[in-house]
Amino acid sequence: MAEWFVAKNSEMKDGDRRIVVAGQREIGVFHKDGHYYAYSNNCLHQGGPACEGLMIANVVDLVGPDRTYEGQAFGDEMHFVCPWHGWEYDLKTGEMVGDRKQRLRKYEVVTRGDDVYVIA
Amino acid sequence: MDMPRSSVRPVEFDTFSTPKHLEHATEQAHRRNYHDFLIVDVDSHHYENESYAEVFEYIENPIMRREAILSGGRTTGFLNTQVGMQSGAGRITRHQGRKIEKPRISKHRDIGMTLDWMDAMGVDYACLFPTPMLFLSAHPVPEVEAAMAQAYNRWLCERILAHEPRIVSMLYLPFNDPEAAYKTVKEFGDRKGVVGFMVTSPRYQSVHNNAFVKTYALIEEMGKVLSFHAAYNWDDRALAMCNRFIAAHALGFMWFNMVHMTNWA
Repeated sequence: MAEWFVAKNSEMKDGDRRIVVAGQREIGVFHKDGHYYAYSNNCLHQGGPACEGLMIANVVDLVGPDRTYEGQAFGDEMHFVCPWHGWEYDLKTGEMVGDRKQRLRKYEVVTRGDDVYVIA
Repeated sequence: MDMPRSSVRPVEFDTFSTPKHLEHATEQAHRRNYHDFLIVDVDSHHYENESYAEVFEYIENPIMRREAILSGGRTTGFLNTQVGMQSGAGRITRHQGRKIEKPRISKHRDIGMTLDWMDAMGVDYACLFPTPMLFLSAHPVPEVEAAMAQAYNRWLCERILAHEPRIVSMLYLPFNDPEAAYKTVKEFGDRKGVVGFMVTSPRYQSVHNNAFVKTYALIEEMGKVLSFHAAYNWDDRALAMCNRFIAAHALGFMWFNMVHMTNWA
């Protein structure tokens, strides 16, 4: 395992991403709400660039106390979506939200001073 | 201390490149030796709306041509459409990205855009078919379907198929007008790059209607294929009960093709 430089922390705004080619691996590194998350950039579906698409909150159906449908709203989870076919992943866990038994490989991110590294 | 080398790039959305978008597909094509065998994409979608300004000029009738040209960019106009969310509310980013992309190859933009993804994915030949025109079968005015089919087919033959041997097409067949369908086969059956004809399925025409027999016979005599391309019609009475696009799409695509295949004489 080696540490691969990603960026200066001061350069990474909230919502920024970097794609790191680390040897044979491609890793998407996300900066969101003060945390870093890193996942394999190969979609579990057909190998698309999973970390290079839209970031969007989850959509929830609202159900009233009488169990009637009351519309939809954005939830509290942040997702990222593979731009090839729309497979959607939970930013915090890398789980594919349609089947949470499937999960992208996660990588550890460390910071030293202003330097951000991913370990792969 | 020597730092480990890595290549790092930001994720940006103000540019779009199909070859870059499909980089992983290119790696797969190399790894799987796609160059060792022939690959034909028989359902390559053409986004003909990007060339409507050119296509509309091929509409023969001057009244309809004017209506088509002046309706561009409006939410109501000459052509019909469907409520839908094919891009998953922007989750499929290439739909927006195409608008700002510059193809690598300096031929007609539609040729360049098509060859870009073909080369990226290791596809040897692509059989183009229009996409928004999938809904033309539900147009309330059958003459518009026939006029638009003829215009698009002429544009495609003249501006695209004549100039790129790797691109072929099964041309749009205006099935709501049996006579227009027959004339389409007669006019275009021998044109360069025309490998057959395609019916868009979400319509209410019985395939076993005797009015179509001479068209089927002519297609067969010419040695061409006849195909049916599925699509949905959310206005269909049964599908109108669906409250989600994915339901209307998943059920609609299957339903109309199943009816036509079951109804074959």
